[in-house]
Amino acid sequence: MTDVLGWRRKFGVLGPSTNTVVQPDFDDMRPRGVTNHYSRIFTPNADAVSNETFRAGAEVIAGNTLDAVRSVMTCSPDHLVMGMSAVTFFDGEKGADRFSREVEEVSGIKISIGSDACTAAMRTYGGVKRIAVLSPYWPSMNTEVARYFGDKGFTVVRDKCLQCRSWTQIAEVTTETLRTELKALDGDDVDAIVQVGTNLSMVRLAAAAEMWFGKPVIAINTATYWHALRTNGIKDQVVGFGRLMSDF
Amino acid sequence: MPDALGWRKKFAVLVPSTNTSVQPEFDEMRPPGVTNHISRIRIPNIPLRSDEDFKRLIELIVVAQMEAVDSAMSMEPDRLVLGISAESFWDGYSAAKKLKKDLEDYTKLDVSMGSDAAESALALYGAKRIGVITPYFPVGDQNVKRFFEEGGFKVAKMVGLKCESPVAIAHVTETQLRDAIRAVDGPDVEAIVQVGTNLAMARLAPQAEIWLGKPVIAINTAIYRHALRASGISDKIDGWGPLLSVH
Repeated sequence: MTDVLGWRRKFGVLGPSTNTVVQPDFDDMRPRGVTNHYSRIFTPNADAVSNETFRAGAEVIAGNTLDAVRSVMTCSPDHLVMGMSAVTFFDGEKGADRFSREVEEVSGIKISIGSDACTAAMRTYGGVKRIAVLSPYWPSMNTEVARYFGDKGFTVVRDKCLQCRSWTQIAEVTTETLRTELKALDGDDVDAIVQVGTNLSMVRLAAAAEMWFGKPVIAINTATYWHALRTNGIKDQVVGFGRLMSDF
Repeated sequence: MPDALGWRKKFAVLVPSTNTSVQPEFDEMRPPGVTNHISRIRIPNIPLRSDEDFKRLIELIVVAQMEAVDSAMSMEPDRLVLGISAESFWDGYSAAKKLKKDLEDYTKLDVSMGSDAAESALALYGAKRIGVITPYFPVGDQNVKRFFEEGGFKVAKMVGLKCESPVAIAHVTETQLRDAIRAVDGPDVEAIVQVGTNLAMARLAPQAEIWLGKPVIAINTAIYRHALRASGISDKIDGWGPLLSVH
């Protein structure tokens, strides 16, 4: 017997307990017969984020990830989707591979992660070498993101981190702020713009920016969900979230 | 600053970790500016073969519940919504009200939950004699019946589907649910209530309602309606029956 709502795939979605954007974003993108099942990664000390504490805070989230994996495994999902991106950029390509491997060993199923999903998205668009990166993070974390993309053969030409002071504050960044930042990041010297940080609400703005700039603008939630769908053979195209979901 | 997506309300939604129906159903019902945030109560997907197994399932949920509440509180929700109904019916009417009050005292938030929400929905129609569908074993059915009868309703007919595990509840088909609705209907039944949040019946209920010409209340629709209306969100939403489109 199959699940009556999730008759094609059930996705276990892992995200920080402080995150309020991944669930609504993913649920707006899900095709019929695919259901998402959010599992919260307990995230304390939400109000003390700074350049010095960012990595330690994110490491706590990483450490609690396997608990959330075990919890969501009880609903028998077919695939896992990581709705927290910072930890998937730590320590470059090797760190990303290690993270996926650990989760896959515990769960026995595959996982889609933000860092590798952005890489897959840029390769799918094609012709992307030089990129700009927008994040809600702090400079110490943007360095990690640039290192990861460097390992994958991309050059981060420019980056901006919004330095949000709490995990929940990330979800309070407005479309106006993000639009201004995107305009500042764009230039003839970048082939694509990548937004990381899953609690930043940017999936619809990215689609608009992509149209206006005439180049790929990749919101990490779109890339991660797209990766989960396509690696599961779900080819349904979804409109309203940019070319990644509608054309590829 | 408000949350960019949940600028009207953020709901914390507690579900058993085995539940795969509440999130898709609630998320399809949500109006603009209201976001739902699932927090899983970690329980194993134990086989259910008897009343004893079912009682153990409830105990497992009670033990693990507060951890899920604490986790959800970290995203600063405006309301706590219980996406698990069995526990909200357990040990009768006053125990249900106490559970609600205890959770409200602990979180300092208003709480929406199945037993209460079903009662509110029935009150909209003035229905007193009801047919009830559950995915439970007899011990669960007895607790549901006790809640309603202590609350002033008469349970005229009842079908418990005795699902073989928490995950298997989501495997019950619309055809099976249609047959269960037929079995609990009758000339003396004024309304039909489905409990068990992992039974995906929100789409079927309005069809049954049109067919039978009487209220058919899917618990997830009743819970979500309660959460919206008690939060002052009066948006009317089509596709889920009069509970959301009219009331």
